[in-house]
Amino acid sequence: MALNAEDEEFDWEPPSEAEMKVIQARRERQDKISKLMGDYLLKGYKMLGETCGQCETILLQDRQKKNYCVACQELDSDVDKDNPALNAQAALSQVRERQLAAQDSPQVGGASAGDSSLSVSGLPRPEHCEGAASGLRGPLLAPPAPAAPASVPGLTSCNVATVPKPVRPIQTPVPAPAHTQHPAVSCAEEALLQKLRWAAQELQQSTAVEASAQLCGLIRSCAESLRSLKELQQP
Amino acid sequence: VQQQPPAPLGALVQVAEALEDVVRRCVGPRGGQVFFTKDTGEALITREGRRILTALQLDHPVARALVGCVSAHCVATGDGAKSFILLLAALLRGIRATGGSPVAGWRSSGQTDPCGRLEARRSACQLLSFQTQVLDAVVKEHVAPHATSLFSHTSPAEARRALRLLLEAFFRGRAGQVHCGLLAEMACDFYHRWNCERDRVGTLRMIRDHFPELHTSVTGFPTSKSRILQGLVLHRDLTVYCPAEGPTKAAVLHTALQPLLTEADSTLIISSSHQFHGWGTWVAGQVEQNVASLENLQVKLLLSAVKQTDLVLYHAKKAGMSVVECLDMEELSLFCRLSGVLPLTDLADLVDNAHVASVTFCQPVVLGSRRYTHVGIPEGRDFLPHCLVLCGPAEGLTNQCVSAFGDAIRENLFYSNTLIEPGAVLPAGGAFEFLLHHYLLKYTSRTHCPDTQAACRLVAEALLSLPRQVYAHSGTGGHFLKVYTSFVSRIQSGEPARPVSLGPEGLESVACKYDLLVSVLQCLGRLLSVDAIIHTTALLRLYTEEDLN
Repeated sequence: MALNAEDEEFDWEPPSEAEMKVIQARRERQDKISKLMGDYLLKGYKMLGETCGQCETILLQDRQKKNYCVACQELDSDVDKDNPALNAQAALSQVRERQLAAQDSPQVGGASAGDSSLSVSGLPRPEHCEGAASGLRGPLLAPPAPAAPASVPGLTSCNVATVPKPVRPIQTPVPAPAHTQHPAVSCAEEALLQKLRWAAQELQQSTAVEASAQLCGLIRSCAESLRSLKELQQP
Repeated sequence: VQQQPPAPLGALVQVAEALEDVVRRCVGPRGGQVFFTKDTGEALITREGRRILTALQLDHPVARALVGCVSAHCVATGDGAKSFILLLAALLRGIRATGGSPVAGWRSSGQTDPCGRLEARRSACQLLSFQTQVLDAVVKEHVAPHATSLFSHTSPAEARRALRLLLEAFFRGRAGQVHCGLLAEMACDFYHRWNCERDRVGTLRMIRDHFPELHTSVTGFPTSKSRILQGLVLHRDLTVYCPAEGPTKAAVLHTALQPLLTEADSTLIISSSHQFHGWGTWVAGQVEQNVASLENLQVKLLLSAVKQTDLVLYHAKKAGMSVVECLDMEELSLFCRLSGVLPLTDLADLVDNAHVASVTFCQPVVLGSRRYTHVGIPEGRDFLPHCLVLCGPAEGLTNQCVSAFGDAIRENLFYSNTLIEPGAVLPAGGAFEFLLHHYLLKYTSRTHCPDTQAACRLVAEALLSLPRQVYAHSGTGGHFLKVYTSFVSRIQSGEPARPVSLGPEGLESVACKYDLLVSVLQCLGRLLSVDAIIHTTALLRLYTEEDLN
């Protein structure tokens, strides 16, 4: 059959892990819906021939002739996650998306390096909203004290000028903790800041999408580590 | 009249899954029962799939079509409503998982795409042709040889044991763990007491057709009080009882012994009281004559389909005859068949001996709160009639018992189809499903057509849902896998002739299992090829051929 021949031309690849998770979640949701529907049918509800306008689930009607949709009224919708009006994470991701669209070309300059590190570290996907939020917060909370790196590995000479600059925006007005710092912790902070700077640098110059994504990931994890270090310091 | 497009595959799956969830709670030997109450106070306890499904309130056209298919299947075979739904839901899920067609590879779920209908219809056709071309062959060649035959055992003790196992497995699923042993024993007993072996098919057919008359259901007693009685129980009390010793003769009457003065729609004109008295005397004379003729034939029991007049009863009592009136036509026809006589329709036949049956005894019997007539029928050419008294504490439970019994006879002993001979059995607990699954997967490696391969895989996967469900209730998680892997290793080590045994002992009929699968595939085909759903507000009147001509 003609349809058949067309299908065989598709390259079938197994679904990726993310897709598998989505499928699994959807299947569990369907199972829950079926179970609820079975319970209600046994309680005497009538199964109608209509479906819900929002989620396409079959409607049930109770003895008082009131229509009831099991999915909308009992389960959390799996579409609300993406609605910015209902979900803070989704709102954040929308903001990040807009910022990313506004800054098409990476600008040279220390201030922008810091800014770009802030703006691109939040990737516009719901799963990574958490990371975006922490990425946003991370560099701000980084303690400004051990900022001046003694040695900056991996930086070329032409970029030396940009080195002290990223430190300044990071030093903005977050209450600097006046606690004594454990030497190991300060070491770790130093190393993280260095890596952060280096990654920001690389990101400015990178042209490949994959590499940029990986650098953003690195920046995000540096930021998260800095945050946890900060928490460690606070008693 | 409004028309709407047919339900998308997603809705079909949703309906099937909702019904599956309802039915799943009662599957298997450890499944539960459902307790229904009505606003009128009526209560019904049942685990019979068909009862549960027909008691639900369903307005969705697909759901109603599904329940209709299930009911039709159950009427024909006697069992399998729950398995039907489980299998159907599993197949629908399988079809949905492959993106609407068993053939296409992975595609994002296009539930509302316009090609969905075409794909679904194609799947339906594929499955039907798969069933006729591939499935039949696989079952006949590979699965059937593993089955043993109920009726081919050499020693009667072996045969009895095999029958007992078969019926026990059946009753375990239908009536629960508690009563299955008792009911199975009784069914076995019943079968053997009828001496079915001489003309098995004919006798079983008669039992199946007349089962409503061959049993009496008694409410208010524990199920253990059920028993088998020799002869036949007529469900009316004796109007006139004259105890007689030993074997007597009986006559079956379809007319009244007192002649009617007029017929319906005619007018009788009486011109004088003398005429009236003359008629009265003539009628009395006729009655006396009729009863005397019966007495000459030594009839001591009158079984009448109609109500006889007081004059007749008086004369019968005088002659020492017992009379039972207002019997059901079906009961009388069964009696005639068992005793080999013709009923008396014309009073002119009163002199003929061919209308007189011999009965071994006749006595009233009290069953529950009613009194019935118990007649003994002498041994016929091929059988010795017996009847059942089935007790249950509540009406619903009694009915469940009764229907389980009737279906047991219908399905297990009698049922056969063209592929598989009657009485072919496999161990219960999933042997049929495992075997078919195994051989279907083997077949996929042998065939090159991708359609067939996909269909094989789909059906094989769906088949496993049945034993999985049965073992899910058994408490130990992973029991299913244990059973399945031990089975597979046994099969692969090449033991074709020996029957595989797994799980609790019991047997099940192969013909019924296979027919269930075929019914499910056909129902699926029908559901998937619906083109439009038309809603009507008036009640549909079904026209027959005669009406249209």
